Parts: sequence; structure tokens; C-alpha cells
Amino acid sequence: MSTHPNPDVTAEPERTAYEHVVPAEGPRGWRRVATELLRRPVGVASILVLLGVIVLALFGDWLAPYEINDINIADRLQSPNAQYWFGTDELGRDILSRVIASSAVSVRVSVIAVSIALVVGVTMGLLAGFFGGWLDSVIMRSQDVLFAFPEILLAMAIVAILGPGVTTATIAIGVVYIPVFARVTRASTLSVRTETYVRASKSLGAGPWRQMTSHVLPNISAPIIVQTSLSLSFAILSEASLSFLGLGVQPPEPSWGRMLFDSRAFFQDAWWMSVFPGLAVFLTVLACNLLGDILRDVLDVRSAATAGGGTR
Amino acid sequence: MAYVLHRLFQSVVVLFGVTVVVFLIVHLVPGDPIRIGMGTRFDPEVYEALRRASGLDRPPLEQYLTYVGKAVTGDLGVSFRSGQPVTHLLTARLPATVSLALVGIVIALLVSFPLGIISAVRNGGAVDSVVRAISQLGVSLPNFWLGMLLILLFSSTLGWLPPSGYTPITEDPLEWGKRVIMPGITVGAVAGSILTRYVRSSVLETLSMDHVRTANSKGLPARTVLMRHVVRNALVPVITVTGTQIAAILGGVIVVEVVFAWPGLGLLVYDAVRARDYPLLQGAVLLIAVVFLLVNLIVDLLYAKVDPRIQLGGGE
Repeated sequence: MSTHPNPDVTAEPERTAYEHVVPAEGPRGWRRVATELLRRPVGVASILVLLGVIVLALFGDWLAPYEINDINIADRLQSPNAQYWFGTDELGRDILSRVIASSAVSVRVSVIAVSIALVVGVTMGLLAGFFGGWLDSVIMRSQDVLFAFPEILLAMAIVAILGPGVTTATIAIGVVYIPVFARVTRASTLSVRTETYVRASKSLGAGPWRQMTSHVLPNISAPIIVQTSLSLSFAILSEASLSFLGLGVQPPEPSWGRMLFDSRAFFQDAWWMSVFPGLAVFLTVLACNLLGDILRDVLDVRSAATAGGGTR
Repeated sequence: MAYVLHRLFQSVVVLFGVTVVVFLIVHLVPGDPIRIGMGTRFDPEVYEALRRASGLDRPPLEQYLTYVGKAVTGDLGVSFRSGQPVTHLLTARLPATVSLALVGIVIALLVSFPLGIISAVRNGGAVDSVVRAISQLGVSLPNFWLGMLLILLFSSTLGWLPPSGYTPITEDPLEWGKRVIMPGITVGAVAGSILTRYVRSSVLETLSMDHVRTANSKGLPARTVLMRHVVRNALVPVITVTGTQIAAILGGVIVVEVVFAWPGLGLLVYDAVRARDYPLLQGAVLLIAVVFLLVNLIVDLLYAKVDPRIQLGGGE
């Protein structure tokens, strides 16, 4: 969403056409992206938050101060204090430890779900955009059908079919986000399909498979990367929503959404039960969204499909 | 006209797909959906009756055609759980959801348009930064958590508003208003944040256009230029996004209704999923998807009417 033009480009008057296309100095490719990301404070902060969540997800068992399912009725419903930083729930379980432990399931579900959506969606979009014709129609109309349901409703329907649980929630979220990847990939494929380098490879004898994997896919990676980052945030939100509705992670395994659901019975006397798990979801989603926005800027993606900054 | 026909045809194709998906809900269930739906309250007689009533003993194609044929006439079958007609259950819940969704949309529009316009006009300034930060936060808020925080603040702590429940607007408008405000804000917040970003970028883009420069150099007052030449043009692309946000609100309503015990379609879907009441779930999903399709269709046609370039450019 950056609107300020890059001053370096406008300031240099004398440049050859070649230099316009290929900047002579400065790192290129992924190193340029990394440098640009690290130059922005918000980018650094988002990366730190996400790294923190990943560390908690991987090493939460060692970092959590208490056992997550240790019931301690004597210490039930304690407000945050030196002993229990985030307080305790109705069974005397430590909220901080449970918030930490929940990051693992959240990361796992969202990463696997987005991987499903990414692989299936990109494949479909690539085939549809590259071959066109009836294949394009069939694939994209089927995506339109999936798009015709509000995402949470579709996920709920899939869970209703397969039964509640982490695995089905993961599959459901994965399926829900396939269409957005298919659309983004198809639109980008259409725009590079007729580029000289793709036609050149074809005239050199490259088959459709080689054209797609070696020439189209690498050149449409930017919008797909941006969409992945944004989709991760929606996947985390969806997982929290499904678990909140009792359709995702099942107790006693803790999850942010489930903790929020359980906290509703204790609104009057235990605000900490509803504040901290929600804060965890919020910060994680915020970091993914900010990173997605910055990546969009840095990679200069102007695709209508990813410009949403919100909807799938 | 060609565009309208093309778009209508497209909607019909998608609608066909939607009915197939909705039909499949009950058929993809591993095992016997009626048995699962009945759970521990299994009764062979009721089981047989439900099986015959739902037509599950017939060949799939015949079942599908029967389902669609009946759905067209407003017959969506019978709820496994309550034995009542699904259509009856849906229409009873519709007013609550519609009123909540409308409040959410109105709040989203009231917040996003002024904020987006001010933010664009003061591009780069303090106001702009604040608005952008708030909209970024709003996009990332889990709506059910926002709802819980509102309850925590306004009901549990301050005691100003009832934490949950519903009164029909026809019964007691004031009580309805008291109860709809928190879920309404919750539903509208995310949509409002996304819309704010769109309004902002659209106004910014229009501000840099030639006709605006001309209007300014003609010496028109800044206010006239803004309202007549910038905002009017900038809002055209926003129509589409508003449509998708109305659609998104239909989804957001589901979880929010659960938080506030708001007896609309969302709470009905929630209960249906938990009770494995497949006919009820099918009916609710079909209804919501059809409304969703209609909203998108109307928005696209409206957009084509406001911006004639769409029709010339073909169907993409």
C-alpha cells in the first residue's frame, strides 16, 4: 500500500534502457528482499513475534512454568500474580503455560492447512492459467462454487461431515483456502504465459511441464508468497474460531480458541481467562498480516486477488 | 445486456454447484448420517421414518433431483433433532440475523468512509498514521474475542449493557438497540477496517488524477473538488469491496451470534453442526450460500451499471 515513490529511481536522470530493467548495483533477489524487510522496524517486529511463536511452539514444554493439565483446586481462579503471571483457570491450571502450549497446535494446524491450500490451489491455478480452455473453465467454476460459501460456514460444514477434531479442522481450513491460491496463481500465470522467455523455452522444445515448473512458476512466486503469509493469518484465525466453537482442538489439549470458549462462564470474576489467549491469537495474526503487507510492498505485488489485505 | 446475461448464467452454474455441495454434505458422512444424527436416542421406528422422509433409501441421483425439486418449492426436509420442517426453523431465525448483519454493515460503512477519506486527504500525516494503525489492528482482531472484550468492559465491568440475548425490534426497539449494539460493533469492526483501507487507497488514487488537477486549477473550493470530483469517482471501485464485505459479514455473524447468544442463523448452524442435524445444516448452508451469491451478483451488476467500462471489457 506504499504510495511514496522510490526517490532513487526518480533522482537519477541518466540511465540506459538496460539499467532501467536491471539495476546495476545493490543486492538482488532474495537478498534484496531480506535487506528491505530488515530495514523496516515493523518488519523486524513481525518477524520477531513470529519467531517467538515458533520457538514457543517447538520448545513450549520446556519453557512453560507449569504442567498444562495440573489441576490445583486450592489455586483456582487466581488473578495474575508473581507466581502465576497470567493467573489460573477454574481448575487452578496455569494460564501462561496453557497459552504457551497452545501455540504448538495453532502453528501446526495453520502451517499444514496452508500447505494443503498452497499445493492444491497453486497446481489448479497453474493448470487452469497455462492450458486455458475447458480445463480452465472446469477448474475455476469449481473454485467459484467453493467461494460461494462464507469461509467459516464451509469449514463448519466440512467438520460436520468428518466429525470434530484437530485433523478434520486442519483439512477443513486447508480446503477453504484453496480457491484464493488457485485464483492468484491463475491470474499471475495468465500474465506471464505469453512472455518471451516462456515462448523461447517452448521453441527450444520444452514441454508444458517444463515450461510451467521452470519458467512460469519461478516468475509468479511473489504473489504466491504474499498470499501464503496472509493466508497463514486467516488459518490461525479460523483454527481459533473452530476451536472456540468446539469443532477444532478437543480438550484436554489446550488451544487459544478453546480457552476462550471455556472462559465465557467466568466473565464476571476472571477477566484474565479471556484476555490472554485472545491476545496471543491477535498478536500472531497481526504479525502475519503485517509481514504479508510488507512483503507485498517489497515484492511489488499488485495483484487484484491479493490486494484485499483481508478477505480470502 | 450481454454482460448481464453472462453474469446471470455464471451465477446459475455456481448455484448448481452449490446445490451439489449442499446435497453432498449428508452423503459424504462416513457411516449412516441418520444413525449418527440420532446418537444415543436411537429408536428403530423413528429411524425408519426419518430414513424414508429424507429419501436416503433411494438412488443418489434421484435423491439429488428430489432435493433440488423440493428446495425450489421451499421444502428443505425435516430436522433430525426436532422433527420440524427446516424451512420453518430457518425463517424463524432469519429476522435476528438480518437485523444484526444490517447493523454491522451500517457501522462498517459509517466508520470506514469518513476515516478512509480523511486518511487519504491527510496522506502521511498523524491522522493518517492513526487510521492506518487502527485499520491494521482491526483486520487482525478475532471477532469473537472482540465481542468478549466488549462484554467484559460494558457488561461485566461497567454494567451498561446486557451481555447477551435478543429482543425482536418489533417488540421493544429500545431493548433491541441495547442488545444489538455490541454484536453489531463486533460484526462491523473487521469489515469496517478492510473497507477503510480500500476507501483510503481508492481516494488516494483518484486524488492524483488529471481531472482533479483540472478541477483544482479551475479554482473550485477544495471541498467541492473533494466531494464532487474525488469521492464520487473513488467510491466506484469500493462498491465491489463493499459487496464482498457484506458477504464476509454473513460469515462473521455465525461466530458472533454464538458469543452473544443471538438466536439467528449462525447459532442455528452451530447447534446443527454440534447435534449433527444434517437436514437443518444443509438448509442453513444453502440459504446462506444463496444470499451470498445474490449479494455478489447484485454488486457486480450494480458495478457494471456505474462503470460502463466493465461491460465493454467482457466478463473477467
